[in-house]
Amino acid sequence: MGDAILKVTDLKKHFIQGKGLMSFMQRQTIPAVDGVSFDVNTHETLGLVGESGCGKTTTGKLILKLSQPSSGNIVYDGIDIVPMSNREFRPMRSKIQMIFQDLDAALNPKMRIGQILGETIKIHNKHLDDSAVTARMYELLEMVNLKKNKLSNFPSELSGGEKRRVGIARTLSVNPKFIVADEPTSALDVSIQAQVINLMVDLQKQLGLSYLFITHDLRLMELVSHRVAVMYLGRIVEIGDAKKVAQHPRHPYTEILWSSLHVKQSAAALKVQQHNAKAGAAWDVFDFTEEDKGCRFAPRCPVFAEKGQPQACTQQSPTLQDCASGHKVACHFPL
Amino acid sequence: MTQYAQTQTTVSEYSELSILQRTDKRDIAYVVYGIVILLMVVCAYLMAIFGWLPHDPEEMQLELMLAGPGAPGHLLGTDFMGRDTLPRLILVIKAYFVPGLMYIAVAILLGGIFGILSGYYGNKYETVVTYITNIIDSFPRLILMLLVVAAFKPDIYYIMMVLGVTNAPLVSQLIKGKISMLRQKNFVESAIALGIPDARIIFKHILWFNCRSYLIIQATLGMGEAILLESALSYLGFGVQEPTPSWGNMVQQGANYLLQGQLWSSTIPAMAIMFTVLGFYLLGDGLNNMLEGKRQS
Repeated sequence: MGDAILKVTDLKKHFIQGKGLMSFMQRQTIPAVDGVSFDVNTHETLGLVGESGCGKTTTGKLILKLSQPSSGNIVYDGIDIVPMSNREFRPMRSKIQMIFQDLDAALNPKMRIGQILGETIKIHNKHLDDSAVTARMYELLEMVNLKKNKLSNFPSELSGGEKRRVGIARTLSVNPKFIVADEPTSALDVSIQAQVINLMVDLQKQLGLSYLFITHDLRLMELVSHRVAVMYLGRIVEIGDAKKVAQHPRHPYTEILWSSLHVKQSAAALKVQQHNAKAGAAWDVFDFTEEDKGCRFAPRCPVFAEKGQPQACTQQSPTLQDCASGHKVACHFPL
Repeated sequence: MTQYAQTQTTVSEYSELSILQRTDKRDIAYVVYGIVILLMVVCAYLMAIFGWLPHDPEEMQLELMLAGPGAPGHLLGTDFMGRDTLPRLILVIKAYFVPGLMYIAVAILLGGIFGILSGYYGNKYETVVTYITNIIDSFPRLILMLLVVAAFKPDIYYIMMVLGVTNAPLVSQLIKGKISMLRQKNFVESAIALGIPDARIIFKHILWFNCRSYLIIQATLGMGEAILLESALSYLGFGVQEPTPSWGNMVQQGANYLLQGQLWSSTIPAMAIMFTVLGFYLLGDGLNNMLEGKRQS
């Protein structure tokens, strides 16, 4: 693998809840993304997994500057994009692209496919004349295995898989080098998912793309990703080679996550559930209204329960530690 | 790979129907009626401009005062000075047409700016726009018009200007609602991500492709409203002044003779108001249901 095309260091996005006159009384900060760091190498796919609401999509949007981070750095190809204004960043938008999760809404419902594609082609290549634009549209459609006659259709006239491929074609129309793929297979059935994934892998080989692949589907993750980062409540808990993370998870959360793939529930997770049931405690999520210290996974963690709720877990937030070559884990007691 | 995709049904039944097939028959009737009225208005405008009037609107025939419809030589009767009603009704359109368009332009322009600022950029703009629109809204419209007429002169352009400004909050609310609804959808976000400039997103993607039918509807409804409000003002005596005819002052003059049993010189212009305004409203309503789709009930 080559050099890092994207370096994210200590990225934070805190949403402030509570607006209006009395907001000072109940203002609450929600750290959706809280100190995330990772690199993506050229021609590489980094998978970002985690449960819903853990900040995966927010991370993706921060990289695209669709929302401004609270702090941290995003260095793309040696340039820090965080302090740039939208106007300065606009020429760079052609290099960093996103495949949006919602396939219906990513396309303007009142525009024909040809209009949608033609516009984005022209935006970054103003000198192109109409015939060159059409040629480029055909080329893009061929790349994503769509028929030429789809150009005159409206998005509502396409199937889910076709819409997704139009979305990918539009993303490719600006010649990106780095693509954030936010759940590109959501709302598609399994066979279409496979088509889309194969297409993405093929395109990566053809065009030398790098992906940040955001998903909660672990099987797909293993198929596509070279490396994996596991997120839990705004923080990365484990990052490393995809196969290693899948086969030898070091963080209890990763272990539970991957064991959910198998029919048999994780023995560890089962134990902590039973333990909590006995103690009358809920299978609880970390509460942000309390003072934020300690490990965020602790309320659900089997190791934490097993070890008799050690001080380290509730008092000190674990940092990412290297445990094997490139395999990092944020846990006081890695498995 | 491609073969599989082809076997899927791609087109929903709804979109296969043409726009006329999927519209309620009643809405089509509304639109047809509205278009007929619109054509009549346009014809009347052309007649007024080029002076193709059936009778001299200024000529007084004192022996034929307050004649009913069908009086010899006067299709719709005469007014209290014996002037023929029909050419005066037609002449009025000339007075309404351009000011009415100006009113719509002012309302949509001002409302559009407010709506875009608060809907697309949100936050601070939204607060400021809300204050401004609230101030405009809380001032009684008729009183404001009377003030302006008293301060300047009873000119229809001033009246329509005030109408435009006072109607801007409504248009702004509607556009704001539409934009902030569309803003939630990812196509705006993905357009930003693709590097399409804001102005292009607002005007092309949002306003042109997603709000144009909506603005046409607003304009149609506004035209009806302009006629109605000008009539109310003229009836009070603050609108268009004699000798220039307007439907409002024609109704008002005729009304003085109602108690003497002279119905026609007041009811004829009143009916002109009713049918025209109804035409514009039904056209707006029908277009709304036709283009925007009826709300699910």
